[in-house]
Order: sequence, then structure tokens, then C-alpha cells
Amino acid sequence: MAPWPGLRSVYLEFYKAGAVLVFKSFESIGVVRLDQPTDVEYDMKIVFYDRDQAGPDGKMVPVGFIHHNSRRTGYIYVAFLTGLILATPIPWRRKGWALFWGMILIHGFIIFNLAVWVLHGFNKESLSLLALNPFWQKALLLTVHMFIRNLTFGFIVCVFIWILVSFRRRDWVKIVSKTKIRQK
Amino acid sequence: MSRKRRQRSKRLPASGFTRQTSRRKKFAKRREESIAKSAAGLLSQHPIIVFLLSFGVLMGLFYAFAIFTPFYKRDFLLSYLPFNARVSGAILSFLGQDITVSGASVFSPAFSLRVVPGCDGIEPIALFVCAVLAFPAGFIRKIPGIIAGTLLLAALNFVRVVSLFLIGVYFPRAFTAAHLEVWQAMFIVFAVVFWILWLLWATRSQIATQRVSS
Repeated sequence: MAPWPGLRSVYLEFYKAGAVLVFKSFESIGVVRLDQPTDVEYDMKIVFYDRDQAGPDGKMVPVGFIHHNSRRTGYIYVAFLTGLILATPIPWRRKGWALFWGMILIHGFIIFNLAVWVLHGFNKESLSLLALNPFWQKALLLTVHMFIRNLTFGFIVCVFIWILVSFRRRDWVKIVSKTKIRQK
Repeated sequence: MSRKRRQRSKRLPASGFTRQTSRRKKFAKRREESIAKSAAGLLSQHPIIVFLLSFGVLMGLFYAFAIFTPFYKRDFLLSYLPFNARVSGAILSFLGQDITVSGASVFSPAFSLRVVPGCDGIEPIALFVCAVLAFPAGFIRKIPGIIAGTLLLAALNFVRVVSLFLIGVYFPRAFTAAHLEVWQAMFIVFAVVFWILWLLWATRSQIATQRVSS
């Protein structure tokens, strides 16, 4: 998980490119753009715009923002999952495939996280671009607090993905059969 | 039913109604058998998926319990978090720090921290317990594993709080990274390692006994 020279900045660019694609899918609700962060703790600033509020120059006016850290919402999970897969005693060919599928799945989770952040931003009282009924609002808040802000949940997801992509039926059967023999 | 009636019913040919009910019973039995076979087939064909599903359901139950039950937030955490702070404070005092503990907070003139939900080690413990419970092994093998793993991970949380406090005192710039990145990941790694160790324990002595007998 050590920050290899340049790797984090490369991942940040990759993350930003992915984030722009995610933001485009929300254009029916509002406009989201990335900006330079004003807080050194973060490396991204997600800015929300309301299409109906334009400045005198005709440009859209930002109505809110969320500071975002790609390291804590993406890079760290990718590094953790990579570490788990590489440490698994399986042939290198299988490690390669496990890494391939693992990266796809973990980025699915990261995209989901980012989408929930954007929905949460739109739903904020100051913006109110997205009006949800009380049930969905509560569900969204619960998701943000329990699964998105909570870093441990992401690591738990990594463990699930690691088991799914690294182990095959025959490995599992071997372990289970040993346990069953012992029970007898 | 009296003896005579039973004998008579044996002699009489089966009516249409009884034939139908027996057919239904046979059909239901076959259906049950086929469901059982397909379930067994699923278990044997996709054991990892079955394990992950049961693991996921158990983790879901844990999160539901943590979110929706007032007992968890009001009673359990309100006593468990200060307990963590007290034990960690005692260890830090033993290590020569000037410590004051108040509720879930640990103070010193140089640094202070508060044990909050999420820094209590409960989720890694839940991960370990659910992984052990979801694995297809005898329940008797699971109990010692769950007890030992839970105690070890709970003890490890004291190490985490103590080490984070010392990092805060001596290397304050590294505190955020150590708190949010290193220890969070390390704790999950420890939970996974303890689960693997339990798996090895649950399988190893059989291999040893097999070797002795051969």
C-alpha cells in the first residue's frame, strides 16, 4: 500500500477520468464538475451546478461542493485487493486473471461509491436538486454513513472480491473435504 | 383405527380419491427430492458462491443489527467504547504517558483521542465471526475459533488505540494516514489471517492423525 513514486498521481488521473463518466450519467438531475481542492486533506473537489441558476455572464453558478479524496475512496482499496491477490499462494497465471476480475469488481464498487456521493450531494438541503421521499432519503443517508464514509466496509468488500476471484472450486473442495474428514 | 377396519381397508380396492392423494404425495415427494438434489448440486457445484452468499447474509444481519437495534448503539457501544478507552489508557499509563480517561476519550498534555464507533474493531470481529460461521465445518470446531478470534481481535484494538496515541504524540503528521489507512487495512488483514489460521487448525490435526495412523 506504500505510495510508489508516481503511481498515486497516475491513479488519480484514472480516477478523475472515471468520475467524469459517472458525472455525465447524472446530467438529467444537475451538472457536476471536478475542480482543484481548497483543502490539502483532499485531492478533488466535486462541484455541483444548477442549470437554472446562471450568472450575469451566462455561466452556470456553482451551488455546492464536496471535498473528495481519491486515495481513501479508490486507491487504498485497489492496493489492498492487489496485495491480497498477490499474497495468495496460487500460480502467477491465476493471479493475473484474479487481478483482472478483481480490478473490474472493485472499480464497480468504487463507481457505486462515487454515484452515492453525487446523489448525496444533489440531495443536500442547500442544493435540493434531487427531492427524495423520506424513506429513500433515510436509506441514502444510511448508505452514506454505514457504507461510504465507513472505510472498513470497503475493505470488507475487498475480502469478498478476493475470495470470489482467487479461489476455485477445487481449492475450496480440498479445504472443505479436509475439514469434513476431521469431523468424522 | 380398529383392527377390523384396517383389515377391511386392506382388502377393499383403492377409491379414486385415495389414488389421487397417493399420486399427489408421490409427486410432492419427487419434487422435494429434486429440490433437495438441485440444492445439493448447487452446494457441490458452486461452494464458493454458497459460502459468499451465507457470509454476505450474516454480514447483512450484523449491519442490520448495528443500524436498527437501539441495544447496539445505546447499551453495547456506550459501555464498550469507554471500556476500550480505559484499557488503552491503562496500557499508556504503564508505558509512562500522563493519561486521563474520561468516557471514551483518552487525554494527555501532548495529545488526545476519542474512541468512536468504527474505531472499536467490531466490524473486523464481525467479519471474522461471519466467515467462520459461514464456512461448512462442524459447529463444535467453530466455537473455540470464534471465542479465540474475537478475544484476539478485541485485544488487537487496544494495540491499535495505544499505537495511534503514541503516533499522535511522537509523529503527529503520520496520525491520519496511520488511523485511516494503515490500521483499517491491517485490522482486516488480521481478521483474514485469523480466519485462515482457524481453517488450518480445523484441518491440520486430522492430517497429523492420518500421518500417525499410516
